[in-house]
Amino acid sequence: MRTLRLLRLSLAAALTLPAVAVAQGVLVAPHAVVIDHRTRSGSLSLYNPGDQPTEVSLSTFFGYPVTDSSGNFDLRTVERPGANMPSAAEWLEAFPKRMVLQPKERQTVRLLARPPQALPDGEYWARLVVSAKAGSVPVSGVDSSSGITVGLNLEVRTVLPLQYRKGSVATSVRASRLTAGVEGDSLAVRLHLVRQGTAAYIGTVRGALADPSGRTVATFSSPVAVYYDVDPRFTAPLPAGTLPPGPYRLRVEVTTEREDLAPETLIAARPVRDSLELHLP
Amino acid sequence: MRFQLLVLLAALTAAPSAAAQVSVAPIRDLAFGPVIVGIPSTVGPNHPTRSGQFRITAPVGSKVQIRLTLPGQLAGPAGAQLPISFSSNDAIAVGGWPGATPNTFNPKATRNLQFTGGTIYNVFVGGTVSPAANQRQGNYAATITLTLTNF
Repeated sequence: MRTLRLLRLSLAAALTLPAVAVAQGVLVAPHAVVIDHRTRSGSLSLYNPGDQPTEVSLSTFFGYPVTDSSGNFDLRTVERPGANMPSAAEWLEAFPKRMVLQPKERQTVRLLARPPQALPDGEYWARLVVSAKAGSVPVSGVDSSSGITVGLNLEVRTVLPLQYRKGSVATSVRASRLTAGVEGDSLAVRLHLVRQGTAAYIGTVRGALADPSGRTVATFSSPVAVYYDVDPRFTAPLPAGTLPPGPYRLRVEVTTEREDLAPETLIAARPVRDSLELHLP
Repeated sequence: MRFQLLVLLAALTAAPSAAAQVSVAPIRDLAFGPVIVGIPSTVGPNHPTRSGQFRITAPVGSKVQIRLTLPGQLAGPAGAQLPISFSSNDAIAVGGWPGATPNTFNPKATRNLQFTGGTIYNVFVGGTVSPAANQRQGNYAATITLTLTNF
C-alpha cells in the first residue's frame, strides 16, 4: 500500500514537472478507416501539436487481431498474405507517404485504393502505420569526468485498422465457452467469439454480475474486434469487502456498438447474449 | 462523374470528430545523468525527472495495445557500443484520470490499455546502462520506439 502511494506520488511529480524533451508525436484522426468500393478513397488527418518539426511516414501491411493464451488482444501480422486472405494492403496507397509536419501544422493524407479487377464482394483489411520522429536526436546524461554522454531518442508509431468494403457485407458473432472466476479483487471472464458473415465484427462486450437478490454487484465493458475468432479475457472489479457466498448470475452481451467509433462505420448485427451461474465461496 | 467527385471531395475535406483522434507523443527522454565508467547506472520508471515518458491519447472506451521496441546497445564513436538493459518492472502505465492505478509491467512484453475513465495514458520507462571500465569516451545514442495499435 505504502509502495503504491509512493509510486503515485512519484508519478504525480513526474506529470507536473515540465517536459525536458518537446513532444514530437502526431495526432491521427480517425483511428479506424473505412473505405467504400464506390469511392475507393478515404482520408486521414494528421496534426503536429508540438513545437518541433516532425517527420512522418505512412505504410500499410496486413494483419488482424487475435488473442493470446491469457486473453489479451494482439495483432497477427502476415508478411505475404495468400490469396485466401482478404488483404487490401497491397493495393492501398497513401498520398503523401512522407512529410515533415511543422509545429501546429495539419495535413490531410489521401488514401486511394486500386483493387484488382473483378474483386469479389466482401470486406478487405489492412493496417495503416503512421510513424513519427523528431528531426534531431536529443542527447542527455553528460558526465564531464568520464566523457560519456548517453541519449535515448523516443519514436512513436500508430497502427490503425482499415476496412475496404465492396458490395453488401454482413457480420455477426457466435459466443460460446463462457467461464468466470474470482481472481484477486476482480471477476475474470473468458468467452469464445467466432465471427460469422463477410465482415469483421466490431463491437463491445458488456457483462454484469448479479447477486442472489438480482442486484448488480459488478460490471465490465470492453471493445472487441473479431476478425476470425478470439478468446478474450475481461475483468470486472468486485466491490470492496467480501461478497456473501452464494449463487451469482453473470450475464454477458455482445453488441455492434462502439463508444469510440462513428456509428456509420459499424455494421449492425443482433446482440448476442449468454449467461452463467457461478457460486462465490 | 460529378457526383463521384463531390463524394470524393466531401470525404477528403470532412473534419474528423475530435473524439475519434488518437495520438502518442514522446514527452521526455530517458536520461541517465552522470555515467561513471565501470559502474552500471539505473533509472527507475517512477523517477520524476529521468524516466522516459510517452503520452497516449485515445477516445474514452477504446482499447489499445502498446509495444516498446527496446535497444540492447547504444551506438557510440568508432563502432563502440554501450550495453543497456530493461528489467521486467521497468515500465509503468497510468491513466490520466482521478483514481487511476499505476500498473507496472515488463517493457519487453506487449500491454493492453483500456481508456475507461479518460482520454490520456502516460507510459514511463526506465532502464540500466552498464559502461565497461574501459568504455570509449563519446556520445552514445539509441532509439526506443512505442507502437500503438488500435484494434
